[in-house]
Amino acid sequence: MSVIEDRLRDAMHARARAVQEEGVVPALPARRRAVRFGWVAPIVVAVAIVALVAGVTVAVRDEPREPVVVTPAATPPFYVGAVVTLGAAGTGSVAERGPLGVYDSGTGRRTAELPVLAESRVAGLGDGRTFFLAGREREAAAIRFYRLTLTPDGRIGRQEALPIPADPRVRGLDALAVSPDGRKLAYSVRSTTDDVRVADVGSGQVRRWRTAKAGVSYRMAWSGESRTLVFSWLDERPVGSETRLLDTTRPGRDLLDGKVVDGRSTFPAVKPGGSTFVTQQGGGRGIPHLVEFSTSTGKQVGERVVKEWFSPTDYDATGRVLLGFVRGGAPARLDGDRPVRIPLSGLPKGKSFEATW
Amino acid sequence: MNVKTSRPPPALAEARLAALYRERRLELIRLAVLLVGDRETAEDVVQDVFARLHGRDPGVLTLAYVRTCVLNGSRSVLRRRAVALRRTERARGAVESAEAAALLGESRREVLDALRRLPGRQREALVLRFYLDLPEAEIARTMRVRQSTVRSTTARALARLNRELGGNA
Repeated sequence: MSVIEDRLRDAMHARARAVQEEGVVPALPARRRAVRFGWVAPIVVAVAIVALVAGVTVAVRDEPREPVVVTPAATPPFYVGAVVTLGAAGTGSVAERGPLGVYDSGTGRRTAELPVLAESRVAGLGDGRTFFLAGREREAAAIRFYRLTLTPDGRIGRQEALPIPADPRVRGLDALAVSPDGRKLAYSVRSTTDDVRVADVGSGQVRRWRTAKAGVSYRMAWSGESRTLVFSWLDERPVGSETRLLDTTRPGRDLLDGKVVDGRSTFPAVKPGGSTFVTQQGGGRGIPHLVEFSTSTGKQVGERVVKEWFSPTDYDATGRVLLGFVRGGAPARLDGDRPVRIPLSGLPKGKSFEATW
Repeated sequence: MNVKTSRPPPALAEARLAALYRERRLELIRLAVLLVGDRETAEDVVQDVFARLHGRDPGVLTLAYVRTCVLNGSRSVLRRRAVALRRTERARGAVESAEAAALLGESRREVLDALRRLPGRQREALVLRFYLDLPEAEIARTMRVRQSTVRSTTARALARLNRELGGNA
């Protein structure tokens, strides 16, 4: 037997011996309802190929345009955003996120900085004044949740820690969304196993959904009646992205128990007070457009052609104006058929911007 | 016409599953720790495996079968980590507890770090061979590969560890 084999045996047994029962042995876990989506696989693969071809077509046909920078009407008055550095091309990953700042929606002036937290995520209520922030104060600390209210001139007025129990196993959040009534927070958890949780902002009570499938819920939004969660799901096998619905009032713990809305669209923005949401689709005709779906049926109810590539992130509280970003990463608003870039001073070349209001 | 079924009663399957869980849980967690790198994830892998084994024919509920399930569950976790690292800014994979790291000592940590850097199949082959001391045939059954593949995978893994650990090996 070689020296390396000896060392391997010794190290592995030492590591294994370090694992001892701690406290009471948990009971045999209950039966988990199988999630059977085998029949979806060929469809998702086909849709992924179509989406890829469509995306390439859009990229080829989309000619660069001169940025249209105007000073829009300031509703909502402020948004929160951060300069981000994207990771490897095509992955959509964020390599680095700068500090979160409060910006005037009309002038683009930075009015305040949010508390600096590690692994931070922020969600806006849509009124441009109320924001929910999650993150850890120190590297080893648990993720905590806060509600921030801005003063009329865009500074941090009130900051409250929410009574949501800290879970030390949570390593970070992939997405955070606040319900239109401000009473519920939905967040996608990066833990030992990924799941989606919904917390009652007042009581701190948390409900959790999981799935046997491998994937990540990387973006989510609430429907108008604060009941249905719309989320983008990245399926690992077969790789594909889809928009899904989850009725949070129904019993059950399976994240993927709800409807699949569409296999081509991502990044939903839900209309407040309404029963629909929009997502971006590259489209097979080479024109980027927004598609409107019903949150109750999951069926497409409308379509809107936009004259420039635009990825929506949030509606404002009135449901008339969409916040999003245009190709290149600059923030923009959409209340007609062409996105209007929101002035933003100091966005370094090659960087993107993430924003919510 | 009465048709007799040879399927055993569900109660037998549940009893066998409960016994496997009671007697083998810790052993399976230890196996998963060596595959995924940290205890919390390993516990989740084992819990998930047992949650999915309800209702299975008691004939398949053997330690070897459950080991294969743990192996598959660990692969799935590692793949998800890889996807997550690609999609988001996740910076860390498994995090060893400070206590476990302190107990191991420098030399063993070096070996385990090198083991963690191996491709998944190579790591699995080494864990099954040198931790569980399984014969080649059983490793092949557990990994669902041929014996010759087990031999070549193990040889490549050992060669790589020898290179990585340099003169210390």
